[in-house]
Amino acid sequence: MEGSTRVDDLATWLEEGYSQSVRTAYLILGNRLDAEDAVQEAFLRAWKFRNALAKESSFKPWLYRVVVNSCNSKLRQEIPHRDRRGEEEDIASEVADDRVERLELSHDVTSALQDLPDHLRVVVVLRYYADLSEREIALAIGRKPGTVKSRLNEARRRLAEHPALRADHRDTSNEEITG
Amino acid sequence: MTMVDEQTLRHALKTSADEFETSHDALTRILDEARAEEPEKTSRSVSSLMPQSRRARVLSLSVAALILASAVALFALSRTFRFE
Repeated sequence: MEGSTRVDDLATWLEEGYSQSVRTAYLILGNRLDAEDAVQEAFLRAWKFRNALAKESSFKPWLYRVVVNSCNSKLRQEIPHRDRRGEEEDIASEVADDRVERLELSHDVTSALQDLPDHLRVVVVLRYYADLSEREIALAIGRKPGTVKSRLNEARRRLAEHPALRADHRDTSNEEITG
Repeated sequence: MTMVDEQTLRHALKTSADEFETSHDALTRILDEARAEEPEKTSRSVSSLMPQSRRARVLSLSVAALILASAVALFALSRTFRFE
C-alpha cells in the first residue's frame, strides 16, 4: 500500500483489518470496550502517520505495531485486573452454557492468557491469533526475533504450568489413552 | 520442559476471539473522524507550508523576522548614503 492514501483508502484498511485487529486487542486487553477504543485510536493514528508506511517494508507488521502500541497505552492506564477477569468470566459462562465441552479448553486458555505478563501475552496473541511470523512480531514490538522466540517459549511454558490448563491436559491425555 | 501445544493455542484463541462480534458503527465513526480532519489539512494553503513542530515554527518565524529586520536596516542605510 502507498503511503499517501486518502480517507477512501482508510475504508479499505478497515475492511481488511479492523475485525482481526479488534479481536487481537481484545485478547491482549481482555476487555471489549478497551479493545475497540484502542483499535479505533490505532487506525486513526496509522492513517494520520501513513507517510511513515512508505519507509516500512510491510503493511501488516506496521499496522500491528500501531495496534500494539495503542494496547500498551491502555495497559499503562492500569486497568484493574479484576475488571478484565470479570468480563472474561462473563464470556466464559456464556460459552459454557451454550457450547459443547471442547469450547471449555478455549475458555481455560483465554483465562490462563490473562494471567501472563503483558509482554508475553502480546507475543502469544500476535503469533497464535494474528498469525504473524517471529520476524513480523519483532518488527511489531520493536524487539529482536531472538527475543520474540524466547518470549514465546517462556509463555508456552507458563501456560502449560497454569492450573486450568494442567487440568485440561490431564483430561485430554486421559481421553487419548482411553480413546 | 512442558509447553502448551501450538495447535491447541491457535484453536483456543481463534474460538475465543471469534465470539467477539465487532460493530460497524465503529468503522463509520473512524471514517467520519478521518474525514473531519482531511479538509482541514487540504484547505490550509499557507499554513500547510509551516513546519508541524512548535520548535521549528518558532525558529522559522525568528529567521523570517531577522531577514525582514536586516532588509529594513539595509534599505534605511542605502537611503542615508544616497543623501550624503
